[in-house]
Amino acid sequence: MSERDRKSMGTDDPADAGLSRLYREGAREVPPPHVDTVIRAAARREVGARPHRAGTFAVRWRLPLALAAVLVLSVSLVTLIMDEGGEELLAPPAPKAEAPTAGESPARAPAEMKSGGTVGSDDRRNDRAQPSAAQPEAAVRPFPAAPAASAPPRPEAALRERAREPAFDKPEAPLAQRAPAAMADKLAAEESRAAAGALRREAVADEARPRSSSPALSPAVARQVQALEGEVPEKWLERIAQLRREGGLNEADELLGEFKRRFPGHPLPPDVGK
Amino acid sequence: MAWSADSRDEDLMLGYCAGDAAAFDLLYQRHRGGLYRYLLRQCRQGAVAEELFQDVWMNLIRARDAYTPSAKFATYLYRLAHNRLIDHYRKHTRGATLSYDDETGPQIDEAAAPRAAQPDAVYDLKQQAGALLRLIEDLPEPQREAFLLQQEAGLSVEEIAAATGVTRETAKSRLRYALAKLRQGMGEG
Repeated sequence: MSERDRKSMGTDDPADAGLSRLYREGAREVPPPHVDTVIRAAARREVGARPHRAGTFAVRWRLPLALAAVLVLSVSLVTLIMDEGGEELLAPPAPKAEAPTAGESPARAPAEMKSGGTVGSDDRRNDRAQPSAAQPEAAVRPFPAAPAASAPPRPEAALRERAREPAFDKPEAPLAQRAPAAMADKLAAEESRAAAGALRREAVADEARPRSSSPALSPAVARQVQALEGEVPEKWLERIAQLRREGGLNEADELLGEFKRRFPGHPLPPDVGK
Repeated sequence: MAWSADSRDEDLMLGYCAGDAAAFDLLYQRHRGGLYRYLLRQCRQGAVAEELFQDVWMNLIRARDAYTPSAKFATYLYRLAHNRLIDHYRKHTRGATLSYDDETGPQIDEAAAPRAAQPDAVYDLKQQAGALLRLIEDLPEPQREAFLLQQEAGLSVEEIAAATGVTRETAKSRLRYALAKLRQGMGEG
């Protein structure tokens, strides 16, 4: 009992100074040190665990930093998607052109709805599955048609068709193997973009290539070349072989020269290459 | 904040509530001995006293957010200790528990015979202190508690009443009986 405690006691409180002095003389027990250690450690631990104690810089700025990080990541992701042609994914859905065909798996529609598929994404899948002649070409092709695409049928046209085929002619994967709708759309967009890119590259190469017959050709050969315009190389080779068989060796040689200009590196059959 | 020997208990406790472990250390240093002796004299077993002592401080630590300096800190601390003791008594169904319901306690004449009251004995201070401790052990628990709260915690009659949950008059009566018995036991009564 401290002096202050004694002063705080009421003046009329029963007390006995002699007994108090005698008691203090005899009562000197204290708790063992290990108990002190346990209690002090617990007190420090509890205080250390208090949230308001942790007023450090990191804790104070935790939320703003987290928000900033989320914002930066979101912007980066959107930018990346836009750079890779993801504007299709972000574009508003086109009006639904037609109902799903009867051949579609009944389990597919709910799966697409679950995966967040929109009407637009459904349409894109339908377009891939059943390209209709009645639909405008722009609806089928995700990018504007390249200038060369409207040219008359040429060997490049066959390549273009082949480039477009994988998007349309792939067999339907089993439902369990099918990626979610959004992923499927993304893949389809990438395929379409790759095909369009190939078409554009071909168109540029096509523009650089000499299109018309050489002015040095004889009129008869020029007519042959005009007749073969847009035909596949095999047609050209057949015509050259035919000229050789019919004895028109000069015309065949001129036509072969024109063929080599148009299809450099194309393998020549033995009877034509002579 | 730098705490000193002059810092009030209540300020130290508030400092600890605000997260200052140094305040707790000082507070603990002030009250560890008194609280331990209070519990030891009440339960009379060292191991039990240690357990109760630890429980009381842990309760104080855990309930620190609920602490408001509406009363003296010692009153608050010994109130926790009193409640813990009651729980202990109830758990172990000691007959002595009943004496908490006995507000007046036995009359002075019914007190145990003073062991240290032999007329020809000459005691030095330590011997007298030992005799006093034995007399305290023989006191009824409410009276012993009132005496210990006065001696160890420095509580006034009002504060003893608050700590033990009785009226002021009851606390005063218990304390008066306790002192009378002890005086009588020591040959002064």
